Amino acid sequence: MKEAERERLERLHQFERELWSQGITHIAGIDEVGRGPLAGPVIAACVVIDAPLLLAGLNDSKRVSERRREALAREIVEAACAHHIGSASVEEIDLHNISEATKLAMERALAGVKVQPDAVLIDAMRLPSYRGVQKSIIDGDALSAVIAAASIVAKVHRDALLVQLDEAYPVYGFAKHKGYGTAAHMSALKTHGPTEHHRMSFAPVRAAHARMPVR
Amino acid sequence: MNTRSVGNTAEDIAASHLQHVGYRILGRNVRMPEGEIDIVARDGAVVVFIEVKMRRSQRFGSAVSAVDYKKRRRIRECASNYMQFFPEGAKTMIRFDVVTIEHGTATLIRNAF
Repeated sequence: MKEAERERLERLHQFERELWSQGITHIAGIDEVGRGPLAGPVIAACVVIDAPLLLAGLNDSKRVSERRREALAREIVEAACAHHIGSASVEEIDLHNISEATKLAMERALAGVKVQPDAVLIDAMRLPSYRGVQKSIIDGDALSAVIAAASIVAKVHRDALLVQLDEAYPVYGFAKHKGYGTAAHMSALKTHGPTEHHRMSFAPVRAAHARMPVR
Repeated sequence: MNTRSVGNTAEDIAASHLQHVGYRILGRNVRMPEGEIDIVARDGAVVVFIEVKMRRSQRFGSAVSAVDYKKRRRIRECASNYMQFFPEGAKTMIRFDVVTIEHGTATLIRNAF
């Protein structure tokens, strides 16, 4: 490891180190993936650590290749004291809204971890239902190791779900775009209409549905 | 088979043995500016730095004797760098273990040096 990578990892632990120096031992990181897509659930992961995550290439999920992300997710789960995935369904997204559903997924992720954290770091969000110490960090998945770890675990989990969905509905290309509104996805939506996994509360899905011929 | 893949296989055997006896693996092939630590793990409250040694034959001595003075010093330097990630005041205990792999069997030597 170059000196620069070591320094990067040290900066990535700035919030964690501050909490540790206050005598806190177990820190949870929470992040979400899948707010933007037109289909599939929103997924949150909660990862609890009691030691630095010195994993090569640890970064927010958007900046890591798919192959490296999968390997990293395994290393993260191995190193963590506990982890849990929470999700909110398409029905819940349509019933409330994406922001409330995301919060729900995060609360479920936190509620499910087997080791209770002493403090929680969350990417750009507050959980009103959580009574303990929590810190919301804007751009947290790029600034905090434990949030970056949660973002990777969440992303790998959601991608795998969308690959499964692709097997059931091959015409939409879920395995490729993971539900995001790419040109290919939009054109498939126009031709075949939305599935039960599409978010009807999202304007492009509604528009595609309205355009479908009545059978 | 190149040396890298042999090393990884030995580390996999070592890691699963360590997990079996209750260690939590914090990192494999943890790179530091001074070099690499094969496995960093937690055994309860103790942070353990583990060197994995694979030997195919006894011809050049046993695996544990292969962790010579120079190597021990390098591992200690890596460990002290690693421990800087814990904040000052965190009184975390550390230990150096060696796992030897001989004929596919892992043997853990706690407090090896």
